[in-house]
Amino acid sequence: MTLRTILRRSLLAVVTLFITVLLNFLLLRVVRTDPVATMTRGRKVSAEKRAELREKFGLDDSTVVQFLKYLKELLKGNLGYSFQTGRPVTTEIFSKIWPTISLIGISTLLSAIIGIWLGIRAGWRPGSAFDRLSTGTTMLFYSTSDAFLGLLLAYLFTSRLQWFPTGGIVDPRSDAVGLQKLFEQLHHMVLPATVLTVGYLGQYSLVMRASILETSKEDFLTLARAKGSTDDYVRRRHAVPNAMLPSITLTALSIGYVLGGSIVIETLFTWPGLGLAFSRALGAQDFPMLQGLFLVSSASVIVLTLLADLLYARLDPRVRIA
Amino acid sequence: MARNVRRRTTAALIAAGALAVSALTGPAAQGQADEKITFTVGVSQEIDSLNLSIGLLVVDYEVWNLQFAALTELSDEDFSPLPGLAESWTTSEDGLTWTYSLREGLQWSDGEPLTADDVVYSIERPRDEEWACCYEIIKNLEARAIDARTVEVITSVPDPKLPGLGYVIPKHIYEPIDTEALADYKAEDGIGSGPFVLTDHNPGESWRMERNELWYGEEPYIDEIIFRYFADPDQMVTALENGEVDAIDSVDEDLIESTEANADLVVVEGGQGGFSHVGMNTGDGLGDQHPALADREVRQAINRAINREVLLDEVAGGRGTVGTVIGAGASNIWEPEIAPEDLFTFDPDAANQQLDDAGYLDTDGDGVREMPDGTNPLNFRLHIRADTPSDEEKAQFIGPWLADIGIDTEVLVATEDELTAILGRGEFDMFTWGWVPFVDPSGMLSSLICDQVTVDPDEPLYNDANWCNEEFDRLYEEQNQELDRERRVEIVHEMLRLFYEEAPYVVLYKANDISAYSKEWTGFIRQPADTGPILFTNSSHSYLTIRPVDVPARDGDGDGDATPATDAKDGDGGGLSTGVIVGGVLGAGAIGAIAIASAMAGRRRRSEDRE
Repeated sequence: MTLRTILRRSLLAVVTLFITVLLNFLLLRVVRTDPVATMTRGRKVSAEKRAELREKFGLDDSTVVQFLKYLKELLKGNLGYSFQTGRPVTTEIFSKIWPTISLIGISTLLSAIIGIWLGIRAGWRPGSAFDRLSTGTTMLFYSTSDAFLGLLLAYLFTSRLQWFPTGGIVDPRSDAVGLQKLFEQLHHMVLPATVLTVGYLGQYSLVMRASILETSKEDFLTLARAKGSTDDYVRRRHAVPNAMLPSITLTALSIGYVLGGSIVIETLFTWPGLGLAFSRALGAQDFPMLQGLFLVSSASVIVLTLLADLLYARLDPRVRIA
Repeated sequence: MARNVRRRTTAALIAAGALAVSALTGPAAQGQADEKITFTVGVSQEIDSLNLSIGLLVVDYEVWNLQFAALTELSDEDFSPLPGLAESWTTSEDGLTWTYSLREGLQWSDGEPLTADDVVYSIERPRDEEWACCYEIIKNLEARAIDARTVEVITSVPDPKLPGLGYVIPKHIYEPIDTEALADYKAEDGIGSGPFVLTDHNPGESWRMERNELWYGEEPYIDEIIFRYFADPDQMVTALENGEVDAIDSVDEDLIESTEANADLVVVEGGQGGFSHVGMNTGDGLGDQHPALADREVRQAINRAINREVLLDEVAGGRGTVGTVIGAGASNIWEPEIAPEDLFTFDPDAANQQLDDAGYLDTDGDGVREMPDGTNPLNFRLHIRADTPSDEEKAQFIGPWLADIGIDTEVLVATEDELTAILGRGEFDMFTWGWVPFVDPSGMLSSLICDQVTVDPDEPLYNDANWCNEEFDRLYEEQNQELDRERRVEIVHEMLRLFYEEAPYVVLYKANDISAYSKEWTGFIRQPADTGPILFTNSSHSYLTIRPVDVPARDGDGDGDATPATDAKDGDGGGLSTGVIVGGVLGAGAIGAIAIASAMAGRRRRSEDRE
């Protein structure tokens, strides 16, 4: 792959990002509301104070001017101020990135690893008891909504059995430090992570199963077998590496979605990440915050897509980038 | 079958993991419990800002109530003013000058002395910068320090809210922050003069308030309060059941019965005057309302056609009281009794008769009445709020009831922001919404005077019925400057009767706030007495008296436990006899914000639950 292709791909990503920023910006301006009214709801505010707020948030400018200003500030790393807290959006988002990365990141990786493993086993012996069991189960969970699965687990393991806490990262009453604190955090993470892991196994196992199935018909596997290799060896050394590509792309893309958080699960378990921030910003019509969250999640998808693209070409010599 | 097997294995694995983890974390969580008494409250809101010039939510006020002692406190009985930071006060003949004497040796939690300068500063700066919390009650005040312990407050108009005055803020903290920088000030340094001060805040998770050793009052039983945020109402109730929290600020409608059935928990219903209403565009403002609604006869007939008992039961789960007059203040002493013969009780026949008599007949036989001149059938738009699921339920009842008296309705849905704009433009006939009044009735009543009818659609004001009545306005001015409490209550009663008779609203019901706590705790205080809530009240006094049941009470602290069932109409009277002292206000503007914020919180909870 030449440097030129990399540059071209990157340029395309930048253009996509720009269009996304524009759409995000316009989308929130289609909603016909007055941010000053939202901010000052419930108080009697003088006309001068309103004017001052309009001035501060640049609401009197035309949409084009507002967008250019927004873009200029964006390039400086300034995403504006949250209507809810009055603090910079970047500060708000940064404080919520880690909880999301830890919960959604771990779940995505677990889901990918387990899912791919299940897919390999299922696809290698299609129609076997394992295949039917694993494909049936993962599809069942994949087609169940996160919200339902989450409620079900919360009901069973928190309300009934009382094995797990109701939510949060830690119990605010606890003084645990060090290793103990880590264990406490893991304890709090078990239920939400289980929902997100189990719920998405299906997409990985199905993709992996399909590509293993396809690869298993290839001539080079027949050759490998003819050379006397064991079934296990053929699978590990010949089939899997060749069938991995779609799964790698899928995993890379899924990692891009991590920064979108999980609105449903983070809300159910009061997990203080980006997903919960999103639902709260939506409820409070906190446009700068929503815009910032949209931007972070779409940018991460675009960047990871670019990486997956480049990685794909690198891993598979058959893919020619024209 | 296969699925069952799989699930069981997963469950067993998870269980094993859980046990291992609990074994490791269990002892740590309990280690400190013996030394410190911690009270944990589950809350459905997160702090937006603790900066007094910005914060708007109920939870912000709960923190301020605990962290900032007020110049005068509000009685738990009926909100009348009691000594706070000021141990006594006197007033001039004309009632315009008030002189407060501060307690001796007052200190901020950081050890700085709390003086008359702090009090003056707490009036001047919020007034000059129009802070959200306090502007409304102090806008007419001037203050000056006579000496370190004496403050003189002068009001430009007679003000029945005095001597009640609210939060005193630390001048040495706020003064170095200029107006520009104030917007970015988080105000989480936890310096105050109240019984508890903020010591820790993890946004999106929890915040902690510890006892302030330098508070002037008697030491509370508890050492610290932890407020823990829950984004999901079901999980919050589970946390109370499992002992992760000791009390919760709200119980979702669907969970009330199961929570009540739990023998370890106490459910408390309390109200502070909030009500749900249908507003009608009476046509004294902008807009294109149906002319029939300008006629009091039509509005009264509509009041008679709506079955409030059914709405209370079906929409509010029967938790509250049937609506009659509006709530004017947080205490129900402001609400007059309406004589039975004057009540708009549900009576479709009487409503039909009234419309017949007023000349609104169905001349073309299509089931819908027309104006007396035979034109313009009575088709009314009924706007409901998209963000409040119960509005849709209300509309489903109200439409058929109005159809029964020959009025056709078209239900239109709008978000609250959209509806605010629609009301501002006057492009409506009827709508559903609600109010939660201030402690002092002036705030609520001021929303209904002629001056509050919107004149500029870009600046929507508060009079959402476009209703202008000179007699009402005259009485408003009169009560606003009436310093004799009993007389003032009478005037407010007269205003509410007038409003009821003129019928720009149908007051549907007054729903109660529902909270709950664990029976391992006792000593909760309602505010106002008998009918109010126990937590998130206007002065948050419960935290001073609550204690675990196994901790003995000090002298004077009875088991003033809030009992679950109360009739919101009981417990009047006491307020009137306190007489001389005028009803106090701890930040009337503040309470208004609480009102709206709590209404917002309620809505948000409900709508989130449906997602």
